[in-house]
Amino acid sequence: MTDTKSFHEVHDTRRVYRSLLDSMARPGKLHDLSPQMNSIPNAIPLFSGTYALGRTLLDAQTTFYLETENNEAASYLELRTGSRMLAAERADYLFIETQPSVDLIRTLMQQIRIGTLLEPEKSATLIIRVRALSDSETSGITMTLSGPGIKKRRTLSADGFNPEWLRIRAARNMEYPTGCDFILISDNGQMAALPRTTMIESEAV
Amino acid sequence: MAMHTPLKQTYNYAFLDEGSKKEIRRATLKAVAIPGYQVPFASREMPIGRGWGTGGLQLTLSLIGDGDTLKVIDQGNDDSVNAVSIKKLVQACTNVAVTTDAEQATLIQSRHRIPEVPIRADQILVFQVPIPEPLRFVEPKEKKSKHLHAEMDYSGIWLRLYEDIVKWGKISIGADYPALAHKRYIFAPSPIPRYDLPKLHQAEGLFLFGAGREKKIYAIPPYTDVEPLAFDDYPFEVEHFEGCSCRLCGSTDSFLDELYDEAAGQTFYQCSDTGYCRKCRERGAQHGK
Amino acid sequence: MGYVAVTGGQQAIETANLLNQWYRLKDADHALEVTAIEKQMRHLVDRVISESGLYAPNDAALALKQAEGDPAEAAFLLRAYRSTLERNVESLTVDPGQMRVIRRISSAFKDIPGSQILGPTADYTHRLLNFTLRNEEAQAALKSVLQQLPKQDNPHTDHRQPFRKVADLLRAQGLLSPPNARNGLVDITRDKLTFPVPRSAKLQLLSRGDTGAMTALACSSMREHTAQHPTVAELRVGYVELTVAYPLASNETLSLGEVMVTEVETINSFTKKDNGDVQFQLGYGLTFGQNETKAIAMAILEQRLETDGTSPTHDEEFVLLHVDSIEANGFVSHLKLPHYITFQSKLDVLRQAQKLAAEKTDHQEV
Repeated sequence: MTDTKSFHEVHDTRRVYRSLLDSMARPGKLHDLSPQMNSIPNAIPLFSGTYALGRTLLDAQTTFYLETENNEAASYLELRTGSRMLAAERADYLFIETQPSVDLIRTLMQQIRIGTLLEPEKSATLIIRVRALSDSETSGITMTLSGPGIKKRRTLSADGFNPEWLRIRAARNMEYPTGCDFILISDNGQMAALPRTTMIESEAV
Repeated sequence: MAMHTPLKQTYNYAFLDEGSKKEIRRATLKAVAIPGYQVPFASREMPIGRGWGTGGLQLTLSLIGDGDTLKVIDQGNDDSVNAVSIKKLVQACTNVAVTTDAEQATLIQSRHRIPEVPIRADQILVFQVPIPEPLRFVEPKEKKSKHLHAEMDYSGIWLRLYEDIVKWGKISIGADYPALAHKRYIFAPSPIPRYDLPKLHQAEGLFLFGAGREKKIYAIPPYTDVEPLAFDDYPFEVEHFEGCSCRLCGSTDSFLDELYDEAAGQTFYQCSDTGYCRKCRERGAQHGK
Repeated sequence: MGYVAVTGGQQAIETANLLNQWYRLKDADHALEVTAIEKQMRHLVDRVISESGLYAPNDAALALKQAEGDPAEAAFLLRAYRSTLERNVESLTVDPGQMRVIRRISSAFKDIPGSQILGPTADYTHRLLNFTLRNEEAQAALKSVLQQLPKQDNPHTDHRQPFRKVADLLRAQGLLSPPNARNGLVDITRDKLTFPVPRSAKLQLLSRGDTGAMTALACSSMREHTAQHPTVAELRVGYVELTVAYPLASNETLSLGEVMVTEVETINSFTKKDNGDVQFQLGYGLTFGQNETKAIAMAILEQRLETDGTSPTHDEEFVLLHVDSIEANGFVSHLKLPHYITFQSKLDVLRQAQKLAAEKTDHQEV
């Protein structure tokens, strides 16, 4: 059995949650999850960001979808959280660990739940792994963000983030309050959120 | 039970079990993503009465941990019995630091007030909410009011405000004045005075609202538009305190409680925010020297 | 200045708590034993485990001691405790048809298979205060009771053989529709409650509901103009076994022991189904412990909520949002909290309105 006792179920999930909450409240603001991710043993079949956020958000009351190259990853996450892996159209949380093709992105984004006018909260949250995140213009795509949580404008650059995600996000989030929320997390543990209220301008889109 | 007696091992850290915290957290994240929308949650029974701040308490317990400093106020007062009782409970099951100084706090749980000093980016204000549905007084049924929000059909509440003006010459709502969040949802700011409502608009801090008995969580994120409902010719007005000042600290720029001194037969005013009032007096004393 | 602000909350609540303890103990010769409450205040304990939704008779007795006998406060203590407990396993579905029955009556049929069993009840005793209880010696009294009991009714005799339920007999004759299949159970302690409420959530809410509130509402539904007088097809009290799936072998089960429940099935007027069948409508009530009036009230209310109508008891928001003891008690008692701010704000509005009214009157007089 993999030793995961260094990631504390009570205190580390709480720290991850507080970072997540602040990320959602201040779209595009970077949070560093690396202290929590580094407390997770390397041997697990999951990206440590998926593990940290999965342990924080998932339980038997929720469902997830996992896009991964590791065959053992889904059952490992199920075992660790009590949550169940379901098809993308039924999942509460979608974890994307790979760099999916444009076609797969389109398929997934068309399948996900965006809630209804009556229950906009019954919508998917996507947790997308990227190579790097930065609050200045660096490599990858640069986004200019505005909306609730942002004083005027904020810049967020993401490397290894396919602009197709943003194109279809814009279409699916057209009818606010329905829509989906994005959480981006980089290899080294930088995290930023793009809730449905965030307007994104980018030359890449 | 003395103030610092920790609860026995029978209880989890921060009282709630981890599954309950997760559910509250998931609902809170959705609430932040949809400003002003009331996210239902499976509210737990707490060791304080339903209607005594269980929604706020559940939010606080889902948030709190090492490094936090907690302030709890009721009617602006740190020393109000219910505020003390809530603070004592949270402390017993977490052992976090507590304060009466709003500027020292990372988490503030409040009933009916927003502190006078603006909430900063590194602070979260948690409100205890009795009735989260702003349309309740025009539409008694939950099933129907949910549809009204979905369709953004707010004609009922506007009509009610209009009738108020016809009848009273002004809008007669006192506290808990309804406002529009992010130009989409009308929400109940909890029974804070109108005086506090503009503090939610384009603010620096995050505001979370918890209604335990009614099982709803909602939020106003930072830098979000919050517009009190009003007409062009009947603009929103806060409470009037012209010519009044706090008899303790002399403030003329804070929300005042009206008190009556029977012996002197006089009406006095006093800051409702006791932490702010004390700081004003301390500052005054320093200047005096 | 004469006025002193109301403050010193910390000291005040410590004192209030101490005074409460003083009143609890001041005239006590010896402290009440929790086990004595559990074993001899059976109906009070049953009420508390039912309203709290936690089958823990000894903890309920402790809560009653702490609450000085207030069942609402005791149920509240247990509920709050319950919400801190981790959910480890879910039991398998219990079949009350397999109940180890101690009491079972039907008002619909004189003769039911397995016969009527009155069991332990005070229903047929005169409500005269029994003054001999003042000086009762427990062991001697018990011995006397056992000597008087007919042999076949000795409670140590186990009615292990299950009785067929009256409702099943009606179903076999096509007079009642089969029970709904188990489709997506909601757990009201874990899932959000949204209206319209699924039947499983209604039943759970009612099962934990306040005995007094439910009895009052059920009574009102029997009196009003659209009233229906339901018939108790069967009321049974007894023990059911709780089992869980054996974690290591999916087709085996583990027994956790027994819980006492009261189950009531009422028959209401008949209805025409969508498929044209004309059948009776069943009302269902189930509570922890022996809580007969509550279980009947539950069956009545459950059935009312499942049918359309204009009376208050057909309105699920009206019934379900107000029958929970913990919620209703909390909200009503919260009026004891200060409301200075809201009052100040209302005062301001009133003064402004008075000013405007006065100006208007002055204007009209001119």
